[in-house]
Amino acid sequence: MSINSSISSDGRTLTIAVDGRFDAGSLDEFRSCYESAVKEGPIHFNVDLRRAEYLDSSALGMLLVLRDYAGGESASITISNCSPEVKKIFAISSFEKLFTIQ
Amino acid sequence: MVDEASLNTEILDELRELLAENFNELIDRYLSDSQLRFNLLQKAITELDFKAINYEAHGIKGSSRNMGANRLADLMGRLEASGHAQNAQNLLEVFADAKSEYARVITGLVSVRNT
Amino acid sequence: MSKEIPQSSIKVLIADDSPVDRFILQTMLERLGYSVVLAEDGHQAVEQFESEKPDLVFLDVMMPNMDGVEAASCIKENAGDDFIPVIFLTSLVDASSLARCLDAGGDDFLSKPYNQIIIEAKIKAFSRMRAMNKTLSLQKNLIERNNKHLLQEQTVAKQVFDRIANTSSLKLSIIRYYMSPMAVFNGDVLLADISPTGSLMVLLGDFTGHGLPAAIGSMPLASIFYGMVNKGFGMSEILREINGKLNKTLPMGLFCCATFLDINLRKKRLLVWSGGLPDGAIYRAGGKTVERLASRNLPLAILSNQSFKADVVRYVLEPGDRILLWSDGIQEARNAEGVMFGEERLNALLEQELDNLHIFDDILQKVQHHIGEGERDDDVSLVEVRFPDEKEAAEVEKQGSRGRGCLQDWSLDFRLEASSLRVFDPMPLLLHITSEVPGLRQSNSVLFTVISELYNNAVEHGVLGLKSSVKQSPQGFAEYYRQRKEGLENLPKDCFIVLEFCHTVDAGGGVLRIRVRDSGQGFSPDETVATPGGVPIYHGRGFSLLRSMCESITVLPPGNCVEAQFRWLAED
Repeated sequence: MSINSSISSDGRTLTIAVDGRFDAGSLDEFRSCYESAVKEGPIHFNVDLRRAEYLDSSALGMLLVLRDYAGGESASITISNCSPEVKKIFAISSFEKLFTIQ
Repeated sequence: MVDEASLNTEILDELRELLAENFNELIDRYLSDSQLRFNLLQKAITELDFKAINYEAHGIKGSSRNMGANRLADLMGRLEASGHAQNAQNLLEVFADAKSEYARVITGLVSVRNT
Repeated sequence: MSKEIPQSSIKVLIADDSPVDRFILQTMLERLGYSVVLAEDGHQAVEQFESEKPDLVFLDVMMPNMDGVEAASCIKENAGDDFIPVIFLTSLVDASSLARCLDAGGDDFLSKPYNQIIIEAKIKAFSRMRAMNKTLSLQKNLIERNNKHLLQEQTVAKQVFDRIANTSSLKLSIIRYYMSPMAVFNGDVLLADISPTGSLMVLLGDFTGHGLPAAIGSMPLASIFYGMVNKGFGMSEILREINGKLNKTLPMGLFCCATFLDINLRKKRLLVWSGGLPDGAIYRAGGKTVERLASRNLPLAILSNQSFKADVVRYVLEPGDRILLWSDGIQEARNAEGVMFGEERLNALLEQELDNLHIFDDILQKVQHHIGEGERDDDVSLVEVRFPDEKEAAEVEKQGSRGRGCLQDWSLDFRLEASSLRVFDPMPLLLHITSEVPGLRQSNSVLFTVISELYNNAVEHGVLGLKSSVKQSPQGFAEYYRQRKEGLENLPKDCFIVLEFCHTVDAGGGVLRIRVRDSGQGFSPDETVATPGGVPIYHGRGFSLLRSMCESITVLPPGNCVEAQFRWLAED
């Protein structure tokens, strides 16, 4: 269970990669990734779930909170490398309308 | 006092330079070793012991060649060959020549030694 | 002065019975800076050689006790592979003594009177030769040692592999196979085992490359294969596991072409996954037809598991049907002229006689005949599985089902008291247990979500009595989890959560019933769904997720107990 973040060379995209479990236990780590970076002004956010094996509804809440931080309606957030199971979870919660799911 | 025909002075000079303070010792070694071998060679010729003739003549030949005593070495070469071939012909004549040549070599070396 | 070898480190033995010649040569050599050892006859020369280990030897030919020729033989023999130059102190008088000296190992001659310049030139030349010889001999020893080491390693690796690739299942009456001796070390691997569900699983693999690097991947391949077949996992799941493991561990460019057969003896069906190996063949019992098993997938280890898909083809089998697989070593087998056996020759052979019961022997014989006196490092692998009649099938299955099994029907009650609730995360343990059921393991990530939702509801709403409505805003969201943390830290002693699991298998797969009961007063599930287009709400998705993933969700009165039925479907 670990989360890493990196900013693209042009400084415009923040990528947050989640490894292992993505649930309430990841809350503080996940939040600090973008709270420290938002001030420096990235415009796009990318949450990479390639290595995320499990997630539950608290992860959904965290993604929504990130969306609020990133500007709410105007936020540009991509959730990438979703497994079929994770895509299904996002579909059930109508997340495609709020995020770009890849 | 050195007879050029019996002793090559060039070789002797080189030896003197090489051995330096040991030059006299080299001459002494040659004198005693060759004397010993000459006696053994004489005995072998008297007994017609060809193997011993070959061996002793070879020994004197080698060290004589190194000392520059070329004529003696040549005579010893002939005796060595006779011993090897088990040929008694001219054996005594060649040995007589060798003896007188050996005397000249000794004289020469002693004179060199003394200088 | 020689630049390569310092002269003082070179030791020279002089053996001569003449005190005059010895003295001259010794003086010359010492003047030149060599260290000198002396001997007065052949016997002494050999003794001095053994004790002083000189680098070079000057030998008089005629000496008392032992002559120079005999001494030279002893010295050369004593030196063994070490090159010790022997120079005879004599003029070349006649051919026969020259021949004797050379036979004894003499390397050169020095005539009298001795000349210092010639002597120095000879010693330097021989020292260089000796140094080269030493280097050569060191390299030769190194190569010999490495070669010996490699052979030992291969032997050990083969033993380890044989132990992992427990070949006993390959001895089944319905399997015939041939692997050439070099095949294993060129990365060919053949695995077969019978699963508890009555499937004979066969995997023929061929790693790219040659030698040990190619063979190394067969270790994890074999251990995953046997481990998972024994536990009753299906072909797709086993392939996925193998692919993931190889993808993570093998270096770029190394991958594994393979064909995987799942032959169910009860259902009389064959599932084939084929990736990169030559097309196999099914010979039908009645003759008449041969069907080819075309490769439909990329080889193992290339794709990450994210993109890996098991595209499986299904066939119905009759007793007497025979399935043949081979590695590309068959087509690539070369004869002495370097001509390959080739695709055409093989296809012609396969089509020749469709009712041929001896196709296995025919292929093998034709290939070996083709190779003839050609390459001997071929890696030819060929395997044939014959589908048995019912009687033989029962016997075969019996041979496979010794001391194995996976979880079938089971139940588990797990009660967490307050002290555990405060600190313990039950998810890894619970998933570890459920993954002992192959069908559930395939749904691990979904099952995580289900159990996690049920458990967290019990903790947050049941035991702690938190209100989801707190999560109205991002600040509320954080506040909610702060409250949860604080609540757990101060949890009253008499709180508890009970998780009850009950698993049953049926024809289609199985059902896992999960009941989570807590010590709370009961709560009503909050089922708000995010309002499309409006302000998203940070809670209320748990129950809709549960409903979508489970066959049924029931809240039992007074609301402190939720039961979920989770169904999984068996492959095929």
